[in-house]
Amino acid sequence: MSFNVLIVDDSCSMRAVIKKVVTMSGFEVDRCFEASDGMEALSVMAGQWVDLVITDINMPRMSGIELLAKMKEDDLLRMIPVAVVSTEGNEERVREAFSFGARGYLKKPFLPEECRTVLCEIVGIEEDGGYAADDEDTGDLDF
Amino acid sequence: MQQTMKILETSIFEVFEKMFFLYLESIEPADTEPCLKASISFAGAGGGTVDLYLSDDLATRMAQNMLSIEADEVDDNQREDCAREAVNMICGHFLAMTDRNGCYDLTIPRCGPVEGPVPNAGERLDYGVGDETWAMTVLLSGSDGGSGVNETGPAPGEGRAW
Repeated sequence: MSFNVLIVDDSCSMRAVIKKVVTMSGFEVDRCFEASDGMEALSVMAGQWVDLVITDINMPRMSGIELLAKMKEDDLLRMIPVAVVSTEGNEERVREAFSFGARGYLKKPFLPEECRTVLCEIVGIEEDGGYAADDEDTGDLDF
Repeated sequence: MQQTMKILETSIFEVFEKMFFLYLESIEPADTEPCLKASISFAGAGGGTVDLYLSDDLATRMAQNMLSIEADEVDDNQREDCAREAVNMICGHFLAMTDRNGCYDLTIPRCGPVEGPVPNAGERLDYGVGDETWAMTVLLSGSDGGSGVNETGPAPGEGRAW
C-alpha cells in the first residue's frame, strides 16, 4: 500500500526535512503534497486524496489547530490521520491538538527516528517497514 | 535569571544538534558582525522576545546542513527560512522547558539582513563553531525587563544535566 502524504508547514526548509524523513521511513509514498498553511492544505485536500497529514501549528492565515478543527467538521476529512509537528510543547497545546483529532504529536526539534516512530504509529506501520496487522496475522498462523 | 539562561542554552544546543548537526561552543562576544537577524516574540503567562544574530558563514552552514545541500546551492531565502525556523524552535523548546504548564502564543518568526554590531539589550549568549567567522548571538528580552517567563523549571527528565 502506498500513501499520499500532505506536509503543512510555513517553512519550506522544515517541509523538506519532513519529506526526507517520510520517504526514508519505510512508507511507500505515492505522492507527497506540500502546503504552507491550513488554508492551502484544505485546498490541496479538496482536489486530491490524502492518506496522512503532517502539520505544524504556528502558521500564518490558518494555524494547524484551525486546520484540525475544519477537518473535524468534514465527514471525509475527519477520517484522515493527522500528526502535529510543532515547537509548541506545553501540555495544554498538546491536549488541544488531540481534542481536535490529531493522532500523533512530535515536538521540534526532533531526531529523524523520533519523527519516523510517530508517523509509523499513526498509520500502523512497524518501524522495519512491515505492517503491524501483517505481523499479527503471522502470529495467528503460528498457533 | 541564571537558571533561565541555562535553560535557554540547553534549548539552543538541542536545536542546533538535532536540526542543524552543529555543536556550538560558548565564546566571548566575537568581532564578526552578524548578517542576519531572526526574531520571535511570545506572550502568555509572561512575554518577551528572542533574537538570533547569525554570521554569514554560520547561516549558510545551517541551511546547508538542514537541507543536505552544498554551500554554493544555498540561496538567501533558504538561509532566512532556516534562521526563522531556528529561532522558532529555540523559543518554543525554551518555553516548554521553562514553564511546562504555561501556555504561550508565539508570533510568526521574522528574519532579515542586519548591519552593524549586536545591540546591547536583554540577556546575551554568544556561541561559535570552531572557526571565528561562525558566530551567533542570542538575546532574550522580557517585556517585564526580566526573562519574560515563569521559572517553574523543566519537567522531570527534560533538559540537560548541568
